[in-house]
Amino acid sequence: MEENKALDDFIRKTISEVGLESPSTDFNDLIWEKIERETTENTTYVHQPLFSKTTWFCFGAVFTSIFIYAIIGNYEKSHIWFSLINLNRFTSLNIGSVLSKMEISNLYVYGILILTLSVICQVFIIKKRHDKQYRLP
Amino acid sequence: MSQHLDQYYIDKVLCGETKAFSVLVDRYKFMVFTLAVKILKNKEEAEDVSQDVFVKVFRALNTFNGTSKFSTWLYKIAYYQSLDYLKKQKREVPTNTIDTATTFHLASMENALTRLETNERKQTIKNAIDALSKEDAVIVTLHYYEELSLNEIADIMNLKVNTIKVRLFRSRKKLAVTLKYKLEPEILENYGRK
Repeated sequence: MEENKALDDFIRKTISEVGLESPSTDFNDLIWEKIERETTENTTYVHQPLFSKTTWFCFGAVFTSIFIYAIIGNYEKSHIWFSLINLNRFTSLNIGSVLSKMEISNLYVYGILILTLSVICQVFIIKKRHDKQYRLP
Repeated sequence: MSQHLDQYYIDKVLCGETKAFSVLVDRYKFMVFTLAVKILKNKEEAEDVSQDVFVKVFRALNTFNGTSKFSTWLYKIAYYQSLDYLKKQKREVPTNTIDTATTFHLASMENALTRLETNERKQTIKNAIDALSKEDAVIVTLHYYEELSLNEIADIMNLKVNTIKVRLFRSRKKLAVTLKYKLEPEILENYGRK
């Protein structure tokens, strides 16, 4: 028992001489770096719509009320400012007859169609590649 | 007293003052690092694991319920994190198996130690502790550096108190034997002298 006590004291005295190990001087900074890195990696981006549901509801309510007022509202049907806009000049142009006289070749039509199709395809392919490139790991 | 002070900083961190965590890091980093070194026997790996321990503690600080001391909780995490790292590396750290309890003479060992230069003495003692198995090294470190009770050590290592007691007893003897082997020439030189 006494020997055990003496040994315990000896070991205690001996070990206390050595002291604890010391980590590097930038230990604390590295911990904060790891914490920040983990925080960034764990952040998920939630896409929010441009207009919230409440905003859409308000828009809908406003337009519906204007529409209802326009149909059944009690107001004067003619307005002076409306007559100032001379809309007759557009109807007198006769755009329909001008367009029907235009002649477009089949080659031109096929070219436009193929161009449109290729643009649509390329947009689809480029978008897919873009999404793949910027996908989060 | 110490726990109250720790709790003060823990509450600060949980309230959003994350920089208060640095106080806790400064307070316990030496012990955590030492524990990791004792288990992994590699300072670079121990540094990495110690940092991971504090990151884990920071994330889980809201789960600390205060039923044990903060230091006990922290050392437990450090202990298991180091063991998990070893498991991942799938390696067993080789230790010196000096199991034969030979006789030793404390007085002559003390003399021999005193005669060594300070650095050499420290290195000798360090090597003796490193020669222990990782569990024994942790027990010795927690008992002699941190002056934790056997119950607290048992809680950290998830072992029975009796097991800790027996291991501590054997570790003391092993240390004495290892030191004796290291100091043998000095002891022989001192033999017979007072």
